[in-house]
Amino acid sequence: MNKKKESKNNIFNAIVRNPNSMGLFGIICMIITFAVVVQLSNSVFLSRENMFNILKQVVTYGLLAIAMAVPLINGNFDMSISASAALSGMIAAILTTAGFAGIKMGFALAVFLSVCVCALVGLINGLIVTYTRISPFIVTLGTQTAVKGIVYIICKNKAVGGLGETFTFLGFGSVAGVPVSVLILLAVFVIMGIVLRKTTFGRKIYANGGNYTAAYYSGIDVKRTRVLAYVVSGMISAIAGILLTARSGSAQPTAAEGYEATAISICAMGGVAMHGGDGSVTGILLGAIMMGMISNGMNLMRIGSNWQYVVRGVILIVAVFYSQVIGDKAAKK
Amino acid sequence: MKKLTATILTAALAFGLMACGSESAEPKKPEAETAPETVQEAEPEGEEDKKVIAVLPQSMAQEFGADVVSAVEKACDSYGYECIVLDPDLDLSTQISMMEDLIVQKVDGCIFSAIDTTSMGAIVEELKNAGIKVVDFDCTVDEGNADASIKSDDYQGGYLAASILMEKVNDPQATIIVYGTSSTIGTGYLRNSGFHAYMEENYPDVTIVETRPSEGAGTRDGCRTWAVDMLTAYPEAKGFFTFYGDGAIGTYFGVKDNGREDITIVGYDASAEQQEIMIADGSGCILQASVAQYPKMMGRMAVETMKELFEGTYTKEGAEDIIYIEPGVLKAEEAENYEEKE
Amino acid sequence: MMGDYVLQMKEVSKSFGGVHALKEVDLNLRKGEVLCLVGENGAGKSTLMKILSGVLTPDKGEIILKGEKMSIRNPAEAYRAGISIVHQELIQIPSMSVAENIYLGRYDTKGGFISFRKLVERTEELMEKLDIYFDPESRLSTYSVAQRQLIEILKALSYDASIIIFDEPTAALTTDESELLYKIIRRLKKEGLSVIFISHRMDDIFAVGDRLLCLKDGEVSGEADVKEITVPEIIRMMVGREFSREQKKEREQTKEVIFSVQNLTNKKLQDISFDLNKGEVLGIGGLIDAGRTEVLRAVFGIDPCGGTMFFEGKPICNKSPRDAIANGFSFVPEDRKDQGLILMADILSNVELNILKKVSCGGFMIRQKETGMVNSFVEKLEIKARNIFTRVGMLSGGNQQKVVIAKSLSSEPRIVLLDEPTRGVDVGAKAEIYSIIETLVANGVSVIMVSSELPELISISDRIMVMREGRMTGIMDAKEATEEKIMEMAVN
Repeated sequence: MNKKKESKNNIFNAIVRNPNSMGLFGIICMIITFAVVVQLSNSVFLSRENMFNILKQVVTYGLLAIAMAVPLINGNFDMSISASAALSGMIAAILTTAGFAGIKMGFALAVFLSVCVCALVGLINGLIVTYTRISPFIVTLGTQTAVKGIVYIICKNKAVGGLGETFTFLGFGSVAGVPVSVLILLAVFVIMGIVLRKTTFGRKIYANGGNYTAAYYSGIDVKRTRVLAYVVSGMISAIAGILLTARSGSAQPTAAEGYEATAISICAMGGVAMHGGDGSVTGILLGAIMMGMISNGMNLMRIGSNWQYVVRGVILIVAVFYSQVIGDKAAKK
Repeated sequence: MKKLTATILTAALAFGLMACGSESAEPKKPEAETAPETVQEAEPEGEEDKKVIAVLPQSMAQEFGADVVSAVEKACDSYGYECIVLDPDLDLSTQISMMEDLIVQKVDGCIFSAIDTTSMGAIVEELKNAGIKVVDFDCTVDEGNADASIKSDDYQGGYLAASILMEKVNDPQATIIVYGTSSTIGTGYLRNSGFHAYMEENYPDVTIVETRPSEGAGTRDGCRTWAVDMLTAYPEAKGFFTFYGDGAIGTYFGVKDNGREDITIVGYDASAEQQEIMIADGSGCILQASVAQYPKMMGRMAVETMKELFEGTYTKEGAEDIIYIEPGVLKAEEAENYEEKE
Repeated sequence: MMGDYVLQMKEVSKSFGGVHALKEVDLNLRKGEVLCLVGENGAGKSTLMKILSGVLTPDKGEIILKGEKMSIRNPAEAYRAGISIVHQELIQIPSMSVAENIYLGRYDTKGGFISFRKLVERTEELMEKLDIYFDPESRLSTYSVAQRQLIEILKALSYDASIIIFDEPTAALTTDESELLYKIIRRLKKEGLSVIFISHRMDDIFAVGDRLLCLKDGEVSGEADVKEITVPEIIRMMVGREFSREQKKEREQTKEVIFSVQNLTNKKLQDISFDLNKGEVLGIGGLIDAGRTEVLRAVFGIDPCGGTMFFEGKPICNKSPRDAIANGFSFVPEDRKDQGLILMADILSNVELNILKKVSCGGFMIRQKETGMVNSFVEKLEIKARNIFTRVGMLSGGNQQKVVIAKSLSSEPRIVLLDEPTRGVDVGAKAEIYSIIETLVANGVSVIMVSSELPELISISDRIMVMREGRMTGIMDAKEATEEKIMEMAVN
């Protein structure tokens, strides 16, 4: 009898004692609870169609959350991700339609160029943050505003529509029943998951965020890592922007405005520590799903937009609270 | 054991919060925009005889949108429809997401004003395919594929505004400042086009300066700052035209603060607030006129058309078949007698 | 003679989690006298003063102030009782003015508004008393450390104190500034104040001290009149203990110079030069601000410095820790929690930090290499944890230190720099760390070790270098070293 109890305890303990999985436990609980409540009120919630709806709606937010997460785990904020997203969407749209300064190009090349431009923005962010003592929050707010201006300039304040077939496919097509944008979202998550957990670069990101001084004394090239973190976040923002444009059917100069706040919320819900050094891609995905479920679920429950804001805010605080409290409790034992 | 307790507590609390969240959303609803009756737990859709109509303005923060929505709610009430209000707050992808959700929710009708008129044809098609009746208003989709479209004649409105403005300014060499459009708002473009057309025909020597603020575009405060800046840049200007309501009010306050009583402003939307300003300042008010779109009438007509669509008595004859509401004018000299058409 | 005593502390004891910081300490202070409180690092001086100033409460013992028993439960009560303290780390707000700082929390208000005029008046009155002057409305940040210390003294005085405690005040002062301080203290005496002056500098003691109380290992080890005592006697009071020189394993000493430093100079160091032999342990002794850690930091490339360094005869320059590690150095910092470890990460992640390249291939971490390497260290160093995925923040001090050491050894260094390697470590782990050092040395690795624990320094080192105020005051063979000798070089 005792032996049985013991082994059961051990598996339970193994999960429960690992602070990483316990932190996620909180948000998983919330997701399940929320799903149950909404489903009872409206049986359509857990249908396949609706689930895909949620995932589609979550694509941009999820990607921006990952973009935010890389420098965040490294210990810095990047507030310019939403502007970069708008920029890349706009550049790709213009290049594939009317052309820029007479240059028109195919989709793949346009995407490549957009990603490069946003990587450049990230590079600028990274260099200023690393080599001056200006707070990263401020630096990236500055680049955000500047980039926004550039977006307006290149599109002359007008949205760019009439996007070609590839864009439409990205935004509305499916492969084997799964929407393309969702596939790309998952692909990016998987890749970033591997990068963060399994590469030296990933290790350095966590180390810097966990204890910058200790990392430096251990011979980690902290400055280079910091700059690269911003370049990566720029590139992922670029992908987010292109998918956003695809889904909207046109590139708006105001695209993704204010999304960085949602990205931070998702990171917080997903267990990414605001001071750096902790966080997992799985958590962020769960956080993004939670975010999507909230809007979608409340829409299904016929709750008006105003109350949705209130509920979103409350859930954010509760979710972060639980993920921290449970993570701490697990760590203490 | 501590962890087990913690886990259970979490689940219980989270559950409680969710339950609370959904419950507390209900009694508050009469204050908000949606009708409370049907959203109890465990009542699946489809058994309801009530038709459900969702309304999506561009943003509830705009007075025009709010006016349309309140009229829609009133009309829905009188016909026994349930009305849901969703606010995309000028974000295109949010509006698209909300409309996608409507498909899953299987609402009966959708009334909306498109944030981007050029690209929303696709989502309208999807709604129609799902059996939802679609009525667009004000900013109607360029493709024209909604089941019905209602707008005020923007072009004519702009034309009318120009004529009234020049009547008051009465100077063929004047400099006039016009609030510029970003073409995401199609109606603005049309109104400014009408304005320009009148000017080209009748006052070709007038200098028109058309710009937009970089910060706070679309908000009252942003417009106010813009107006003051423009006056500083063009002290010789004689008049302003803003194609939307908050813009008119913002410009009014900005100009008034600068003590320029010689300026004439023609605005848009003829809201109650603008009417009050005119009554208070009398016929010499710098906000001389405002083109009325009759948003309340638009809202009511939208619901009536929706009813006709449900009953099968209305069919759109083609992409160009738009129900036009003729614009009226609220003038400062007749402000007291002005009546809004509902 | 009881009437003469303004303060008596009787049998004061205090422990922290089983460690006795103070054991039945008696302190007597007469009115108008300057009592110097001396002892080496960690002897209990600050703890005693924290009790007197209300920051800590004693486990046992009583405090008698002007003949009355008192209990001082918090700093406010201490101030009210007339006890003021000038801290070593100045507690000041640089962005506020001199007057605001001095009277922090005690502003005159008129109907809720601060009366600045009154504030300035009060400040000026105060300054007259001491004959020092600073513009009361100027910002604190414009003043030097020495000046800020004087302002801190003004603050202490503003409480109408009868007893003022100075905690290592001359540490950051130049000779001239110290002279000024002495003058002020003599003035305070004249006004009838009593002073407790914590210091380990002989200059201070002989300049202003009337009597001397010495603590060692939490107990009183001696009391004397300053006029009648000599420096060697003071030193013996500070460090003389039953010292059983342990039978050190005879180490194989090859006199082969592997590393050499010449004229190492920077803001905190002056002309440091020494040689290091292969397989040798060079200990660095000295008091807290002597510059010992700074030497290690300069060698390891954390702080910039002038001078030259030679490794195996070739000149090298460590411009950053990364450089240093590549050149065969490694560093175990003093503060493991802030500088040595990533507390929220697990043992594996911490240990592999120095050698990410070695456990990866083309940028991808290879689990087997990681775990293989880390596990072997866990075994060798006997790190006690459930497994290598345990969060480092949850380990005991000793095990945490071993993790840092493991990390520093993973890069297979030729020279290991240790800064207080056994601080905050239990006895068992200490012994294990010593044996690790022995193994290193046996394998030809050289060690430079900073330690404040003199017995440890003497028994582990082959040679000991003593520092004082950024300079070397001497190098000696460990065999000939005694605690007194080292302390002498450290304070003179």
